[in-house]
Amino acid sequence: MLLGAALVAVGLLTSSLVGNQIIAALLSLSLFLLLWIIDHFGWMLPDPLDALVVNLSLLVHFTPFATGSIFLSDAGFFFSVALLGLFLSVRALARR
Amino acid sequence: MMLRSPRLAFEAMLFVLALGLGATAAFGPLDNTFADQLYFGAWCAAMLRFFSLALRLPLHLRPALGRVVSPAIVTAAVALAVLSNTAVYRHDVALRRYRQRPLHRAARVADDCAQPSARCGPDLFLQQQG
Repeated sequence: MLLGAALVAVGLLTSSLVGNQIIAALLSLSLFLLLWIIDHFGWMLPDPLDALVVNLSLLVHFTPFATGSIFLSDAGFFFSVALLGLFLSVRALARR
Repeated sequence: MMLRSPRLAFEAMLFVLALGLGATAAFGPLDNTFADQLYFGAWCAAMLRFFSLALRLPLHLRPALGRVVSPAIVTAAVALAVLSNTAVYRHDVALRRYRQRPLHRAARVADDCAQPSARCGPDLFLQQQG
């Protein structure tokens, strides 16, 4: 549910930024895929940046849920991404 | 004093909830795990309060002002999200919810190993396999 809320918020933000529905859908899917696999690229970065980029990954935060461990930081990540996406969507819609 | 709107009442409730949970976690006689969960509840209430306050920021600004203020608001929101995630990450807590379902064969081997006279290890496991 938390993952779904975060993805819906990011998709809503993309849809509010782009006028065309098809482009918004493709951009959202690309963003989801990028956020899903970004940890594979994050390990290549230098020290301060790697932790930041790896922690952007949805897979890194979702895997503990799938194995039965609930980390509060993972729940907080999805929660804050959902809130941030909704807030930025409101700003983007108001700008139109 | 009566609060003027349900939204103000909701924000006040979130503020009180965040303060109360944080104070209880900090000063209450609780074990560490429960206190960490209370801290997380306070964090969630504070984030919801920030979200509610951020929605009240002016959406339509004069063009000259908007060119400066709108990117600043977006940057502040992203910075707040990053900082709050960093805080909750540094104070991380794992709530293990493994289901207690050991394999029957492995559980039987472990039970046999608990007896002093029993053979233990791969021999017993292979014997029970066969």
